[in-house]
Amino acid sequence: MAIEHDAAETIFDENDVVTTDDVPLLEVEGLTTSFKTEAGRLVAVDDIDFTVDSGETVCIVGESGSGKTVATESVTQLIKQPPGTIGGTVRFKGQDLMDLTEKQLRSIRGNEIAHIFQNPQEAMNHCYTVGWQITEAIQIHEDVSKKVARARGVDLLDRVGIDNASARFDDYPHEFSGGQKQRIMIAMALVGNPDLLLADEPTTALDVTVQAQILRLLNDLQEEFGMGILFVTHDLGVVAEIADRVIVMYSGKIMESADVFEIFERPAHPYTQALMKCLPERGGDQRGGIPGRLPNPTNPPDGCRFAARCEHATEDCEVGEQPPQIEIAPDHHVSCIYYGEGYDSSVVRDAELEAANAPETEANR
Amino acid sequence: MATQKPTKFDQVDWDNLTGSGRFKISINMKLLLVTGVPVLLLGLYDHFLVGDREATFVRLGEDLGLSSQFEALGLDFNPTSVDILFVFTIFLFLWYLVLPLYQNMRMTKYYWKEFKRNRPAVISLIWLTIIFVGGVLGPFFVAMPEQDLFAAYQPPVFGSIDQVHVNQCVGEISDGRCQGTWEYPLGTTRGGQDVLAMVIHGMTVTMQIAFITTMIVAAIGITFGTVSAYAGGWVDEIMMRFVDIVLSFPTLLFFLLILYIYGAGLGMFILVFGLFGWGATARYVRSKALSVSEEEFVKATKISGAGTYRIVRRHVVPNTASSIITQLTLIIPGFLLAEAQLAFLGIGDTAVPTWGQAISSGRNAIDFAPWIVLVPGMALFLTILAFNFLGDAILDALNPEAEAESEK
Amino acid sequence: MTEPILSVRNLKKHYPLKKGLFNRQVGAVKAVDGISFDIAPGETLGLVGESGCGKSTAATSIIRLEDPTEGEVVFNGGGRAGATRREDGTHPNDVTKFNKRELKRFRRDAQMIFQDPSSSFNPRMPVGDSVGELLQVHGMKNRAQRRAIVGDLLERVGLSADDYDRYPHEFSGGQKQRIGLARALVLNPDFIVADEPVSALDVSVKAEVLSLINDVQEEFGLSILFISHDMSVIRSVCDRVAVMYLGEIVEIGDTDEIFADPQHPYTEALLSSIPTPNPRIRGEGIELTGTVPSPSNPPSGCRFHTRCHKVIQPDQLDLEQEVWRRLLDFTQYVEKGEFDIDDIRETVTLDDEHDPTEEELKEQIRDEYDLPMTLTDASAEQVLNEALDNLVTDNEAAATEQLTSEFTTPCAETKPDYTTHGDGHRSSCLLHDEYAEAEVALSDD
Repeated sequence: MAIEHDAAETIFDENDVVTTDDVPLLEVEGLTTSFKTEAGRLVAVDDIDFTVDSGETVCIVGESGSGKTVATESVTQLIKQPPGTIGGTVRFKGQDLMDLTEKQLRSIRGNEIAHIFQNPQEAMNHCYTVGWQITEAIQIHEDVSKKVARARGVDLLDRVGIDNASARFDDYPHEFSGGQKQRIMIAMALVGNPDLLLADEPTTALDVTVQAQILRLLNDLQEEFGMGILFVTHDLGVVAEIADRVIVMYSGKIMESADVFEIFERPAHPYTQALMKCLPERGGDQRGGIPGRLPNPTNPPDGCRFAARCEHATEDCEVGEQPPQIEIAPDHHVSCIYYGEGYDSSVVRDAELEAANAPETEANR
Repeated sequence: MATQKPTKFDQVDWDNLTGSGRFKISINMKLLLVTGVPVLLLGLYDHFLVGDREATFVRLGEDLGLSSQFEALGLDFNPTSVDILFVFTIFLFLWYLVLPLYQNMRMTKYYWKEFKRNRPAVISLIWLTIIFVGGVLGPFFVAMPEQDLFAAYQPPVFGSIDQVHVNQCVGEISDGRCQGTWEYPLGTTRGGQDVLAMVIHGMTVTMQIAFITTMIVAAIGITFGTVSAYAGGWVDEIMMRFVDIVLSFPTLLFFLLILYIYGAGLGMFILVFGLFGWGATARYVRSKALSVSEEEFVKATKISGAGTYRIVRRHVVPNTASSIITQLTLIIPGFLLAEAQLAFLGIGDTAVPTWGQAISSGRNAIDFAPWIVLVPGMALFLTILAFNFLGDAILDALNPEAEAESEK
Repeated sequence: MTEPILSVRNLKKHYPLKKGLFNRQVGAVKAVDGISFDIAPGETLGLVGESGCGKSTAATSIIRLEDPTEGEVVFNGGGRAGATRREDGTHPNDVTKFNKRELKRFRRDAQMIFQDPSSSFNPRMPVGDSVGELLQVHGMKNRAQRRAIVGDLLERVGLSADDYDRYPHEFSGGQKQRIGLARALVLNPDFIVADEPVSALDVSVKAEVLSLINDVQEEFGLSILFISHDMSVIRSVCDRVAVMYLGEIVEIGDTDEIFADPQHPYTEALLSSIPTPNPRIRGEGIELTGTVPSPSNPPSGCRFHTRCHKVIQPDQLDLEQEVWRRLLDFTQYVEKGEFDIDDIRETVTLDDEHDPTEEELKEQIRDEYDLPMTLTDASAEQVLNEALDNLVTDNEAAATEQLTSEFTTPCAETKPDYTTHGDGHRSSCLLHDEYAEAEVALSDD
């Protein structure tokens, strides 16, 4: 396993186009998170690598059970240990977060790495006013007077698009709508001027109109602060809207990673293609969805995790480990044996899908 | 057509299937009627026709003209009304709790899988099963402990006691200490009563208290709670205010009052505590019923055209059951403790050998004959602990949704 | 025109707001406030809108899970076709007037699929019994027959007959939704209400369930009222769409037409908010400002005017549309008393430590509310300037007066009527009133 993994690694590191600095903002290598359960060891995230650079939005996309949430929560070790176990390295600005104590991690969590979650109401304290919570967060972060903290808090709320921020500062969380709460959560995340924002499905619980507002807000804030965003979602529409690079996860493994245009216009992995085909807007014809279901996470099958549901699967797909990450175009990696030596990659390429999604054919809106 | 019924949903001729189904008696109800009704009749017969000093079955044999057969079978019991109620409750328990578990084997297996994760609860269940079986069958095999002054203060087997405290040592005497024997494995009391026999007969009383009070509390509490939840409006308001009164009623003082005026036995204890102990259960059931009826599956049943009775009986009550069973399991220790406390204070029913009585009888000899207090004390302590563990584990085990969510 | 299977007329559902010791009614949440539409046999009508727009309440009122406050729901399915109105004007097929027996009969012909697969089945009942219960309730006493029918149906929705005895927790969300469809079908209804049936499912599963619903509909000629907030789902299953906003239908028409050429600004905004799975076109959507107002006190005139990006300017003004929108927003804040000059003062003071001049304050206000430093329209600029002067001198009342009298929109005053844009395509927006053709009267047939 280790040898194969290293081989994949070298390919992965070459031609890393996006990096301007030597060290990426976040560099995750061999991240493996497992949980002890009654049924045995459940490996939610299995040996994955990825990077996030400053000013870049990386989307992890996958269905529920793919391990995408666990992957982000493992970055700052929000996973409860035990029953969880996190392995691998997570380097943030060159420093391995795995070596830090819980106390050091806590100071990184609020400040340099911020989290926003799917359900803002669960992440807020309903006993205090929104202003109180923000002021407190600011005062924990730096030693300023209450008045200054308040003014900064109002400014932050204004910046995340809360209308009439100064008047609404002393309202309680329940007096805000869902979208506004998510804006407030973002404001709180911004308190420590984070370099990295981990956003776990922040728009899933919201209406489309509000979702559009929040996505736009995140884009604007990123331009303003230049932070890196790791964005978890199951919605390919959102991915297209916000991502610079995309990581497609399935059953704890990375299936494909590439920049957003590559993923949408030349999806290489059969799983990515199947996901695209579920979208009627992308000329998808897979009205029946993807047949079959996720493999058992406590006892994943040999070979490629997607083999059982893959129309191109051969016997080779069901032996050994998940195929290595093969670079098929600059910064476009696929974990599928068809792209390896001795296989014909045109078998899995979906010309029809690529033609439908080519940038020239704007006919499909 | 009459013989060949359509098996496709779109071929059913609904207009010929008139009527909404006649009232059908379930197997559970049939079994209860067959077993429970005779027991209740016996109870009434015992209460109204049989004298206090007469043994019920002997009299029954005479009345039925079957004396000789009864005698041959050894049917000469004289059950009290509490015993009869206990038997009825056991039938209820069997047909409406144990039998459904057997009928829904699939779900039972699942519950058991969940339940057995909790080791202490499994041990508790084993302990309570021992108490239950001992309580039900024990009295048939072990005689009531009798006074025998010659055998006072016999130590338990492998134990010993200073010779000065015993009249006559059943076992050997060595080094001036009387050694315990297998004749009295758990020793005897000051009156020479066998502690083991006392513990076994105490099991019966414990189970009687547990089962009968629970049945009373469950019957009133569930009915009251669901009716209140479903009636709503001012009916709900009045019923809940009544629950407030029940909850703030000083049950113990009331019981003492009855005790001093009329005198009271175990039956009265069970009745009073049962009749005033259902307040919390009713309130709990109501809130559970209200939250369950907000669930989509209840709406789906409403849409199906089902009536309110069906919705409550088939959907709301079963789904509140897990929390009700837990709640009931957790109130039993309260009744047991209350009984033990009263017995210890010497105001319990002296005619029944309860654990509390046993503990009370040993309190003067605790320095030289501690087993008299310790053995029934441990039994009581472990039983109460077991009920608490069990309640907790049942709540976890009976909650399939919690499991489904954690798997996400 | 063929008789519609369902026709809803002026349906209202108000929830009274009660207050005080004697439960005095102080108002009402107008969840559904006068909606009308028809569904033809075999047709799927989509009901779409943001959360809180009343679409789910509309569904439960139509199927009479709740009693509507007002209005008529005429259901002509299940052998009720061809009924005519009685002399007193009531309709014999009006669901809202059904008695207990008629209602039970109606349940056989109209069923519902629920949103949340995890809570729509009794967790303590085998799913087969949950489905079979409907047969039992409607008088099928034969247990074996029920079992056979349910088993057959489970197979039709892609499960196996052996799943009859399994419990809900043993199924995935997608499978449960299939069983939900089986439960809705088992009485062989003519009409199904599907309330967000796929919103809790994953993309791949979502597609599966949708295609199953489509297949079943074709096979049995069902009519479906399909409720969803997801425009892409609506697009793939619905023949026609009704767009709801704050308890009213703002636009209704053929799906293709609505998606290709939305007439109401709200529909337009809703459509453009859908994140398109195409990274080449991003950030081009119309952004709606603010949130949905409370249905207990809906805005006057067109209910959408408080957020509309196309809100009409009065004749005397000539401003950029975007500026006009912000000016109206600002007016709303001042009018509602949510504007506080002290906060502005505090913010300005913080930047540098001297007492702010009036000019600075005015600038800060314009900055905070995204108003340009000078408006292109001279008369508007003059009014705004005077109002700001009043605001910085703590004369809020005068400022409110100035702003509200000058910056008014016809949208806030006139309730728009429906305008027809072609076959069955209607929208209610003042922008269309000018070239409105002959009005469609919502006649009975």
